[in-house]
Amino acid sequence: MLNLLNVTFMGILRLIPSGIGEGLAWGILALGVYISFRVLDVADMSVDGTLALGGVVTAVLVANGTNVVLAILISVISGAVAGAITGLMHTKLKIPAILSGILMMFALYSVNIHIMSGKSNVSLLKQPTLLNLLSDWLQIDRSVINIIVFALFAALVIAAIYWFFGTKLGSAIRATGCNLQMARAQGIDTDSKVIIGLAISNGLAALAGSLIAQKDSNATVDMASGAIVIGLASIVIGELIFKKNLPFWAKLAGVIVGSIIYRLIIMLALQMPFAETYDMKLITAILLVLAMSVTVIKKRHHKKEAKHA
Amino acid sequence: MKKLFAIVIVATLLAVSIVILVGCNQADINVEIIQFGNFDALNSAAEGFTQRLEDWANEQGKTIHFEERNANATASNVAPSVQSAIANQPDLIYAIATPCAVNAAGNTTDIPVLYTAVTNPTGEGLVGQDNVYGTSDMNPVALQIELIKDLVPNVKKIAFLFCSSETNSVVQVGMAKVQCALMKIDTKDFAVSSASEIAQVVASIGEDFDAIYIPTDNMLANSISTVASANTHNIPLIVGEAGMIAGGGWATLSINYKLLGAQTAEIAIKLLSGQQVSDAERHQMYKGALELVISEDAKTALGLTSEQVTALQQKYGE
Repeated sequence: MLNLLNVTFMGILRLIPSGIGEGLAWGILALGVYISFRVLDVADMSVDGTLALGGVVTAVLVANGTNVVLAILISVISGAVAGAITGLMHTKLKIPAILSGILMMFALYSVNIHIMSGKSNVSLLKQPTLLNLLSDWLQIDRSVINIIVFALFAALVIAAIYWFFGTKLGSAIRATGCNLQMARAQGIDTDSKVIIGLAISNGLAALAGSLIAQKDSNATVDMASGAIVIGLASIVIGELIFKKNLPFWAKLAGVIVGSIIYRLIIMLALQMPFAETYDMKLITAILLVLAMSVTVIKKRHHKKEAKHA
Repeated sequence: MKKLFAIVIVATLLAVSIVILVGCNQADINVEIIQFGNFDALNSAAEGFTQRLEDWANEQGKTIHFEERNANATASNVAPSVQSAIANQPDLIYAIATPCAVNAAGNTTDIPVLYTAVTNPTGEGLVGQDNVYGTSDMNPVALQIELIKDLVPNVKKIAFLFCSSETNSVVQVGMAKVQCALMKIDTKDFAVSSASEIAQVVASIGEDFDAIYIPTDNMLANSISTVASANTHNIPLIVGEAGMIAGGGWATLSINYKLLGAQTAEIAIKLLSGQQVSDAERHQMYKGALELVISEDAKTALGLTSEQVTALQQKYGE
């Protein structure tokens, strides 16, 4: 028994680096989801398509000899364009946000296969991806490089979002998300703000997809299945740990921390002798329900206390 | 104005569809091919079949037209592909992989359906229907487990990696477990339900496993590079078919899908030339030789000499 515990414990310790790498890469997606769901208050499901789009575009470009930095850039732009189209469908064609997103996700499935010239996956094994190049150049193990690169990207993205939402345009987008009618009354063109917000959100999802494809050395048409739930889980866990009245940048960092913790919890759960790998979705769902209900329970508790006082 | 516009559109659509329909029916023999996904194995099965049939048609002085449809590895694409194939009323339908075969057999009782790359035709209910014929690609699972023992002589524990919703894989993993029990090897299932989970599930395979085994699983074939790069402990990765070697699999004993396709074409030739297909010939197992495929990286990692490789090739080649 002790031996078994020992094996499990050591196994978990060894898994932590891969969990952190995984959490950081998917954390960038969570930041994208945070912008649409929390800042903009639009339930956008396109990320399930744009994440794969980012991965697929990077994989195809790198496999055909394009510089990886350029490939990442093009991936982000393609994701942003897709996001903007979702925004156009929602604002100009008045299609409900959820449906616009789902339609975009649907359409991108075919588009992604087209980009891969009819195949459903493109391998990046031994290709000059950012991670492989750095790992060769610095002679550092891939799992360590993953963490360093993804952490840098996450920090960069947080800094960029923090700066952008402080600008005039960024503030207008936040106002649009806060109260659409009021923002409009203030003379803000809310439609264009929603479109720009969704472009940023999906650009980030594509960036995450690009990094995940490089981490996995593979891009597949189904690599993003369930991405939206993964993003939401990270946000909710982050919000649970980080208090509400924190500055904006700390909230963004909280999303990344939430994503890492989500991965570590899943990893821990998978190491338990009673859990099977196909329980991953069930564990995620339970985790989300728990995390979300804690806030409600806390609120009720506060109300009771307030009554007693 | 609007009405005129609508009429023009409808007329154009009609004209286009008539052109397409007429275009389809010009050959003497029309064959509809419905392929589940764009995987090396399935592509080879299609190639072997079409090549053999084309050769035969040339000998007979007939023209043959193949209409190829691909469901892009998505279950919901299968039914529409089958529907349009049947609507064209071809001379026969060639269905590659289980989902296509089951759907085609379920939707027509008059057009001959030839399946291939189906692991368990009896279990899928393909046996016993009058218009259904085909070849099974039942993987040499037991031999592949034996191969693991040859490559990793002190193997004690094997991780099975597969998609939980693919019946083919579940059947094969069951067979692999029987073989492992005979050889006194411990096993553990690592079932995956969607592609985005694969990296994490592979990372959770501990160092105490001596080998990872993947059966002929569509989802994992698609994500084999993900598996290879998440396999940080460098655990030997034995796979179900040769298509997975290029993406990072280490070794396999594999059915040659091109030969399997050609074998299926022999049944098609009998049908098209009006010969009787006996009950014994209706549903066939793979008859050709197995191929041992080992990647160069795996040879280095396993420390295999070229003599050892040759010896293995001779052992399994028959």
